[in-house]
Amino acid sequence: MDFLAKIGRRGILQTCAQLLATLLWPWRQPARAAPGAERADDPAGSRMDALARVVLPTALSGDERRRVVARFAAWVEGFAPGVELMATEDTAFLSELPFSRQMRSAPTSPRTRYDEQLDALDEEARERHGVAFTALGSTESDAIVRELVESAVARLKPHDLNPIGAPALWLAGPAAFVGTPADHVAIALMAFYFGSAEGVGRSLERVVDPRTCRGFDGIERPPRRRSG
Amino acid sequence: MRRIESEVCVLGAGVAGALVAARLAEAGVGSITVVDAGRAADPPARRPDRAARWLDYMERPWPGDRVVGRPPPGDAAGGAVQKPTMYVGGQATHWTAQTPRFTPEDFRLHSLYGYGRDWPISYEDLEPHYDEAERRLGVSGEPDGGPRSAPFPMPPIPESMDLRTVRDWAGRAGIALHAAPYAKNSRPYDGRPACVRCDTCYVCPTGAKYSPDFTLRALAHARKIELVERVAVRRLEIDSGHRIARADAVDVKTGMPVSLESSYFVLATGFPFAPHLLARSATPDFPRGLANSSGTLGRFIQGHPVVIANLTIPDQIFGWVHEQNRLMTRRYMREPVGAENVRFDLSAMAAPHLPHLRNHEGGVQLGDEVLADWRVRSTRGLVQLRSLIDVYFGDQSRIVDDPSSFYPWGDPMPKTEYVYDAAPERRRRAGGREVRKLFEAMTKKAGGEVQFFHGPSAHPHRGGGCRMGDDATTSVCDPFGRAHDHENLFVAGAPLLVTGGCTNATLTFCALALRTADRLVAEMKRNRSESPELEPA
Repeated sequence: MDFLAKIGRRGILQTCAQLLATLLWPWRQPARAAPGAERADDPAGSRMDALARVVLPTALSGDERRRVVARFAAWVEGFAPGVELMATEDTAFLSELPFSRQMRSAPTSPRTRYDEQLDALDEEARERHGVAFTALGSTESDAIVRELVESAVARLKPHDLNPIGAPALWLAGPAAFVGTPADHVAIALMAFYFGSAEGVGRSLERVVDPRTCRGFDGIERPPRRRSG
Repeated sequence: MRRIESEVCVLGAGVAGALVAARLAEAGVGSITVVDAGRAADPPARRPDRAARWLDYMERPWPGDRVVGRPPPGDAAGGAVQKPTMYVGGQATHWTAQTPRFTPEDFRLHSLYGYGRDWPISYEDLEPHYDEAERRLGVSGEPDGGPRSAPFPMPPIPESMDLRTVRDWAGRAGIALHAAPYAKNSRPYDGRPACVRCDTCYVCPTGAKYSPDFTLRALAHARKIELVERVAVRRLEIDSGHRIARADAVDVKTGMPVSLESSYFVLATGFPFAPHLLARSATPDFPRGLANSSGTLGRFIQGHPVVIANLTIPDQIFGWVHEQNRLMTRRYMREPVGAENVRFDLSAMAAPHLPHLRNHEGGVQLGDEVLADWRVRSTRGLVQLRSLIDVYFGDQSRIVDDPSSFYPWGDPMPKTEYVYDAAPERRRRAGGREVRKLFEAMTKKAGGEVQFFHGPSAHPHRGGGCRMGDDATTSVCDPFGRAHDHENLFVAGAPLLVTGGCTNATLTFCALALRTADRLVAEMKRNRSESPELEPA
């Protein structure tokens, strides 16, 4: 029973840990703001929020979008460089894939790269339109991000991510892209959202949380409809 | 030098070793040592966190479960790697836990279909041990029409609406699917909880999925066995009567030698490590390796090519509901198809659609576009079909030293060389053709489209290399797993395979191991009754 109780608490504990990490972030890392944090030279608002406006569904309210960005920031904070990563020799089928034969460790935290990529977005915006990325209209910011994502995805090899071909935003979320040629904050934020319970639920318009132990009650029926 | 003495020394703490140790302990064998090169896996309480980190960061939930600093060795064909697992519990600490039995036909391939080789035992001989293995592991399943002496220990894991859709779709195509059996609890069983659908079966965070380390921990805790971790066996030594006198080993942590001395040795290191160890233990009397007077050691290794296809079907499948479990049919294991008598299993699972960064035209998608594309694709269900094809490998396929991979203690690692000469290649091609024809016929009849077809390639569920037989000139072990050449050496599990079957093979490895353990227990009892002085005080 103790076991089950721990499982039942897992989701709650994870959420609490993520919220705590988000709240503590500015004090833990005073020298460098995390992606998604406010910056003194960024008075118009978070560059991450501006990016989120482009890469997340427009149906998200401002609060919902900011919560996604905060959770993403917590995810970045929780990244552990050097840890052994999943290698697909662990399953017979996936071991067929050519990218699977290497032992892999988590690369350096993407945090610095993401910051530099946000800086690059700003530079591009100033070069093209003379204003910060956060001050761009949706058409202009969409064009810049789209080009960057296109460029990153074009460098992916067919087997970088999954065997089906089209690069997928895997359930594994942004971790699937870290260290690949598509290691970009815009893609990572999309992967984070669309791999989350909320993202999956929004796609199906049903409550389907693939990240919790859900039991079997009602499994014989379609998942219940998502409200909102 | 550290010396460890016991009545029975079980080399290898994987699923075969765990079951042998459990059977011996229950029979009252007083002194059992189980030795493994690996270390203890994370305690169960740590596994929920491992599962969460795996999902969130793709971190490997079984860190370090390989020879330190060594990538897993491959094989000559570049196929699936053989995992030198370095956890107590072995590969079944992170298995899918799918536990079908072989069929009666698997044991009589040559008689029935003119290829492969008949086993020295029948399905009926192994059936009681299948039954026992299912009880010990805790298998959930539903009747599949195959012969069995007892029902599954537990009913199947509840079927999701998605799997029901797959079952109905296949039914329209004329294929009756049933729940694949799994060593996962559908109700509390053996002190472990029922599955609660975490969908992270690779690392089960609740203990609902069987893992051999559960058995070994319990035995060690009850002082029924001495579990010796991080000691790697390098070589077996024989005495003048060709009995195994001791196993020379090394302490993985310190590099110090260890001597394991015992009346009986059970080689449960699995495939390909058991035949490789015997080959590495050559002596002047056995220059081709211990237990190898027949010259078949490390040969006749088996496995089965796999074919996988993703299909879209007209029925809606939500995905993400419970995509860990499969449905299956054993029909084509029992009723071969085509001129080549192709045999294969067929399993199916519901799969989720994934969000894509590119649309069908190849353009990048952002935000609402990703969502819209995902929603459109999700109106059609995604099904993954998989078949394992029966292919019999001959004596050209073998286990050799890998000249480029070495253990930290200096010995070469094994390398498997699967040779697709004329016969297996013909069966592989015919199998791929027939399976593809079946998949396409299913979509034509029940609706759908093959999206992705992969194989036939690789060969999971490997075994053989110490095949059993009645004839000591053509086999390594007798029909109970005892080496023909060494009366106190038993081989347990996968290496004994004669043919590889065409379905997940772990339950068969387990049944063989239990049969071997039974024979050893019987012999020890007989010896004690004939020699009362051997009775323990």
